[in-house]
Amino acid sequence: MAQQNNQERRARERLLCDARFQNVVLHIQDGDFPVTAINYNNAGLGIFTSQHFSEFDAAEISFSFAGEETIHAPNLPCKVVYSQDTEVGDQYGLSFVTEQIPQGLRDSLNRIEALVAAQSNSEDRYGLFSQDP
Amino acid sequence: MWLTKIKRKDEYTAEHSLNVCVLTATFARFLGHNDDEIRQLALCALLHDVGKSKIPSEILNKEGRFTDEEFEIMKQHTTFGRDLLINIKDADRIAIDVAHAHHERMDGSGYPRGLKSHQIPYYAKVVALADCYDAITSSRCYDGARASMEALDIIYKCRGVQFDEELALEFIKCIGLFPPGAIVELSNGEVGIIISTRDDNKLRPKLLVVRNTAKQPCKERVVDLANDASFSEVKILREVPNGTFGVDIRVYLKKGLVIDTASMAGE
Repeated sequence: MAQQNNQERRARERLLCDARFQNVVLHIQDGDFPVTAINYNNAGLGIFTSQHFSEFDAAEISFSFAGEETIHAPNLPCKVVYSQDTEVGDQYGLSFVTEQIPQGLRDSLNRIEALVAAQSNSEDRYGLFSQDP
Repeated sequence: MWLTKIKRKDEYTAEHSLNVCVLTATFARFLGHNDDEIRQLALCALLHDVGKSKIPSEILNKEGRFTDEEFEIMKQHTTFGRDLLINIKDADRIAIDVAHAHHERMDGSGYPRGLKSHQIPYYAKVVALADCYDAITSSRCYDGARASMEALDIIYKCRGVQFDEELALEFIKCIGLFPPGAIVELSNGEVGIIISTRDDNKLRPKLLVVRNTAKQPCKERVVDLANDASFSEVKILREVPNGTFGVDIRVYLKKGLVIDTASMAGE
């Protein structure tokens, strides 16, 4: 299958998105599409979708983070850092265009990263191995 | 015979089929299947993309994104695969099912039939996981390899929706967080290549250290994180894509590095 632009070298690790990431919607010229949030840091979001989109370089992404309080992150401008379309689904790495994001929303992105990091296990990312003898 | 034919037409699909075959066999052994079942699952995996031999080469080998029309043609490889195998005398019925159903999804949004979870053959659910893992991690001539963790993240997040939930979690356990061949950065700053994993402690594999704390080439040495006392406080920070810090796994394989992939199946 075709693939593109996979030379991404992420400066910082992305944390695994947990169930608190909700209503994740990609806004592109073709329309608005629900997608699956895969991994996250305050600089970007990895997404996966089984839908096939025409090529795009820029987009907006919206999502809610349902912690003790729900944090809304609407219409974040982002660039496509990498994309890979495979027959099992399309994978995109989105980088937030932070200079176009209001300070209050940037603070929210930082807070979301801190909340995800607080509950993530860097050594056992999926929580499946810690029970091993 | 088919592999030779598809290899001439599309080397990626031939290599992908072999990879999915090996991954499926490894996973099947991990799941506890007997030898006959493992052989049958491996055959199903080898033939899962047989229908791609009926896809026009200009689409199959296209660089860049598919148009919607091309994507719809690509999706037909599942039906083509069923038709090809069904016309072969004594063809394995389960292989026919897997070729036809390996892109079905648990939520019913897959193709070609939009089957519900309970309608999807078990063997197709198994092969679908290996298919996804290899599709995300494999590289083509114009593409760098994606890290294993990206593929596992996707499988984990899509469990229960795209993939069978229980099998998805077992697949992640089988591959492990740091599969043999993965390049990892350690908490002390050094960089290594995973040589083998331990079934009793997937978080503490054996690795070959190839970069020092300054990420510069160093005298290579084997470290067993589970038993080396000087590394008792050292953790694996993260897996990095091939090529990061100038570490290319292919160079080490050419030099004779042996990667113990059998350890993934607990052998």
